[in-house]
Amino acid sequence: MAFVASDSRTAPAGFTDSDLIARAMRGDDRNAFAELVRRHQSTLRASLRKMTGGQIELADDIAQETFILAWKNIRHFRFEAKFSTWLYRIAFNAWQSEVRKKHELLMDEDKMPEPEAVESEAAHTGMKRDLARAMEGLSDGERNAILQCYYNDLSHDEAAYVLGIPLGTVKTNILKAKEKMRARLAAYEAEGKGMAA
Amino acid sequence: MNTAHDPLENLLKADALAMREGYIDDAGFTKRVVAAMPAHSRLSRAARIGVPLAFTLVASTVVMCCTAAGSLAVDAFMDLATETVTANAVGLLLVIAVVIGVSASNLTGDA
Repeated sequence: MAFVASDSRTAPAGFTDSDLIARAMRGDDRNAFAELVRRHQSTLRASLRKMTGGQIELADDIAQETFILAWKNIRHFRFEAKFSTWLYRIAFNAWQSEVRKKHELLMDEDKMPEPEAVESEAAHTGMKRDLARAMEGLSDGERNAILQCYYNDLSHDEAAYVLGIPLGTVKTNILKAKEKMRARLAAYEAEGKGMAA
Repeated sequence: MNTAHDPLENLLKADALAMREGYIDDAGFTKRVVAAMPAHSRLSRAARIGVPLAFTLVASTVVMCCTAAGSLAVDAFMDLATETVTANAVGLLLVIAVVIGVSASNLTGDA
């Protein structure tokens, strides 16, 4: 794998993520793991909220499940990826399993809240609202690639690891997604100008 | 490719940054996770397989010694020791192979 673990954020107590993981692994230290949860809960929950289309309760349930799975499997963590990237991988798999369980489609408009409600904080501007609409038109693979590479700020390599797909597929999905989104945004802009005229 | 003037790229980055910078208050989330965390098993993977296997072998030996099956097993061991191929010996080898196979698959399945 081309990326290397470099989680070295320092806790107020002076422990890095790696220290805490080591303590949780070797000493079965629940407090160390609790500190990891505290540090990563916000980003993971935000990412899952985006992934689930703004279903806050569902996103938090999956986040909780993710941390519990991480705790159960902490001894298998090999420091080959960042802890946060490992969490994203577990979370993505948990989300996929949830989707399969409920036979839901990621972008099923009937079951998803309206983008305006979902993106209540982000969609202040028309452009952001248009961006959310443009993302709705993507396939699951394209949307997942955009979420991992932009919203979770992962490299293509890391996104491939999280999504469990080849690197080439991630790159293709990103290109296709951006192509579709550009076309849609241009169409919305033209619509807007047409309305104004 | 220069992405500095790509409006879509800029829009995506700005939206993503807003998402990442918007801190979600813990509000008891960590407490709920910690409360739901199970205790880690104190046994190693090998021990988790080895202990039941050892009990099974001991129990099987006791049963064999107390029933007629014991003489069949003893005969089979004797046949194997003297390198004589009999139905008993083949049966015993099959049982050993199954036990080893099941243990190995449990070990790899755990990993």
